[in-house]
Amino acid sequence: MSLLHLFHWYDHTTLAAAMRKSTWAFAVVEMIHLIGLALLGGVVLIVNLRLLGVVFRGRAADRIARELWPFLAASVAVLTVTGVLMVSEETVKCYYNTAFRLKMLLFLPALFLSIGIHRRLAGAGAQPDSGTAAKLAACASLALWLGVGVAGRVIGYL
Amino acid sequence: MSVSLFQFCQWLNDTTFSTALRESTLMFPIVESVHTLAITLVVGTVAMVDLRLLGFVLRKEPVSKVAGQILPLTWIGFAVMLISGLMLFAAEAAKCYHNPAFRLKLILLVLVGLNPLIFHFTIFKSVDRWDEVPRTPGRARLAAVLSLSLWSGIIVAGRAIAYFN
Repeated sequence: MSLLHLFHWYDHTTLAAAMRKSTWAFAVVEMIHLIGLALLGGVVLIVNLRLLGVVFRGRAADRIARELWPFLAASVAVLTVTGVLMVSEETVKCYYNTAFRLKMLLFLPALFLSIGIHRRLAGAGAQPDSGTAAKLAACASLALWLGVGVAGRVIGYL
Repeated sequence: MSVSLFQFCQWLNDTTFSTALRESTLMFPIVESVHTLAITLVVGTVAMVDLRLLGFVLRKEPVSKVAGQILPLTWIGFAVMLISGLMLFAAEAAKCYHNPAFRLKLILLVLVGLNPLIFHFTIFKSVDRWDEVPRTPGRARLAAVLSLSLWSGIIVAGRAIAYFN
């Protein structure tokens, strides 16, 4: 089954139909998506800036990563669920939307890099290695998530 | 001669700058995107401070240190949010005047500004006594809950502006 088939299948589900039929469902879901985005932005920013030594320099990085982990997971969960619901509005159009494709392409590496950074930090002790590789990872993470956000906003314009 | 608020909005709406921004195919979406991302920066960082006050994250970090490290980032976001927001408003000032979501957003913005002001001049004055505790006093936690609620409301109202236009 191709990806396009998956989008066609989703388009025909009861859930997608119900989303399209409702007047306010899309608006409400989109607002929750934006609130989740803000939370994710906060978590990603703090963890990566800690890795770069911009904030909380000298403070236990493993503890910060562990404490922020549930909020990364929760915000990604909220964003994924609301994101999937939002696609129902224009399922096949999304499939062909360049910004949507770019967003998904950036989202996966952004997510895996963030998970990797949290796991690495959580097990690395209070003062982690903050060499060039770690700093590059932090910059890449920030850039990828920014790309996800910008691409996400552009979907609506195309 | 008195000038009404609506007349001011209409004047702003019709300036060369506003008209150019409103009619541009590229500038308006760019400013709108910058505004959205700036809000993410503001609310994301404020949420981290609020979650610290509630004892959910950064529990071992002193509250004053969390605020000192994170809030400068909030102010950067706030400056960008304000400038881009004013530009968006100027471009559609006449429409915004009648928009209920826009009016609600302005009220919420005033409240979200008052909240930290009150917080700063009351409970935060005694921060030395609870700086290191994971669970902050009730007043501080109330301020955090209010902040999270109001900012969520601002995101919702802000997004709703486009639905009422």
